[in-house]
Amino acid sequence: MKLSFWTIIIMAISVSVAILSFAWLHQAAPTIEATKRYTEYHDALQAEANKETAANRRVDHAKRAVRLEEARWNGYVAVRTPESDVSRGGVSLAVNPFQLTVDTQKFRNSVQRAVNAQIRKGGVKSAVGGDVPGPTNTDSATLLADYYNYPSLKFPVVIYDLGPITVQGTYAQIMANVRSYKSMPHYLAVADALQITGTSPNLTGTYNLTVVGYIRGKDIFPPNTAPVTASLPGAASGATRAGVPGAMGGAPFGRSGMPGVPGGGAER
Amino acid sequence: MKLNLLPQTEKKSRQGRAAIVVGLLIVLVSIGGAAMLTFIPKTSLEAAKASIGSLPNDVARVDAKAKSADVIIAHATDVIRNSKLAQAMIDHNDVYPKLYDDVKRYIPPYYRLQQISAVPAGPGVSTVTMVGTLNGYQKYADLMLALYRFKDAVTIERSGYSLNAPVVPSLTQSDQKGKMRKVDEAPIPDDGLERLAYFQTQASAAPKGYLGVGSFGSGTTDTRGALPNDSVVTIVMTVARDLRVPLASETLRSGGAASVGGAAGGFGSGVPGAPGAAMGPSGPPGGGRSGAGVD
Repeated sequence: MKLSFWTIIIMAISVSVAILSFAWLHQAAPTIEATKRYTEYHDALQAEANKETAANRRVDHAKRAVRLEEARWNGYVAVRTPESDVSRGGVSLAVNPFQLTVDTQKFRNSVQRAVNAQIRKGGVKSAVGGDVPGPTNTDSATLLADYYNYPSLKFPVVIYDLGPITVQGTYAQIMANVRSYKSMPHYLAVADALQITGTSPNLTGTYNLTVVGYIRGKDIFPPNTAPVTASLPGAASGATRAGVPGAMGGAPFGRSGMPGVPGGGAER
Repeated sequence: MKLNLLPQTEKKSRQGRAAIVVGLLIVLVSIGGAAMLTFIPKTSLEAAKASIGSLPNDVARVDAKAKSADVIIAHATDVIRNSKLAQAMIDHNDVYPKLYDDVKRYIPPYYRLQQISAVPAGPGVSTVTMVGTLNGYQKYADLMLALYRFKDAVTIERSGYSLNAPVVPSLTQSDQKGKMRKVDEAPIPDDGLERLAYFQTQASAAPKGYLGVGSFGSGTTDTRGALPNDSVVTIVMTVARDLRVPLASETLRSGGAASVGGAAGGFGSGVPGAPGAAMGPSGPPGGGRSGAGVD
């Protein structure tokens, strides 16, 4: 049987379409799609790589921010933290735990004196309240945790919620009294929920007072759960201060005023 | 006349050969096209792959650098938190006095204040409560206008005024003119003699001398109360001020930004914590392809 001219042509065209279809669907289209995705990937990578300047700026910004905060914090440490000497109204945690029980009582009294002096500021006629709590126990083993909040916090700090303070005076005196907490020496204090009652000039101001004392120093004596010989002052010189944590450092001590990081066996 | 003496099959044979040639040409062209469709995109793909080159490493380097800022901040978290807390505590000591000073400027002299207090009601919102005395319904209205001049006042509510002003009564048998009197008083008679008796009775029943109400004249420093005919008025004012106090204990224990409280159940972000990361390049984009069958 002889095939006609057009039959052969149509058959050739069909075969061609099949060949081209195979080439397009199986080879060209996926490859073009892949090329497109690689191009997008390249563009995205390039865009990210071009952010190097921004990344550098970000690092610089972070460094600058940290330096700024460190400087600011050093300023607070210098004037808003208790002295590291008991005789000057502060406390040192570098003493042995038994001595610390004694020093803590003295420290509490120093804080009370500071609070008493502070709540009379502004020229108020009278002031009531602000009882600074002392250690609830004399257990040298738990004193650090109970009173100085260490190691539950990363650094020793005393926090006193002194409750309501009542002062009497004129409006100006009460306002000056509250504002004076901005500059309370050796401590950070905040007066909150101020309420004023009475008839001028005999007004009564009531507010809640919170006092925070970051404890300065680089060293804290280790807990006295160690063998007694190692905890005794006489043996301390030979004892290794395993895990001596850093207390709240600052301008006088720390390189950058950063809080001490729990150390890993620094020897003394 | 020409005669075609060739058989019909001879003509078809020639057409068949031409068709085969043309058909082969078509197939060959399509094979060439198919080859182009295969190799040209592949070349482009290889070029696209090659263009990526060391970019992933560059991106990783930039990403690491950007993340190092977080590390820098993270290492200073304690210092930043403590510094922010200290500043927030110091600043807060000025918040209440400033609020009261600001509000006081708008308290009119006829509203004698007995008490002022304020509590935080949420981020940026607080409630100031004032208790004082005043005399006169007009002043009760004027007080609101006076207080609304305070630019941070959002809403002001008042209460406590006891309205007992003289009113024009309806006519009664004895009072055919409707003479003004207080609501709880008897009608004022029209008759002259009866009216005289009325006022005499009223005068005899009225308190005499110094009343000594509201601790006035007591010689003590007690809060002076309302004068006769004065009302104790309570003003509750919502103001756009943030009175939330930084909570030292919670902040130090949280390990994060300074907590603030004071509002009902209120903790917020009134005090910023560590400076936030400015920006950061995202990770390298996925380079996966969804195309099927291409390696």
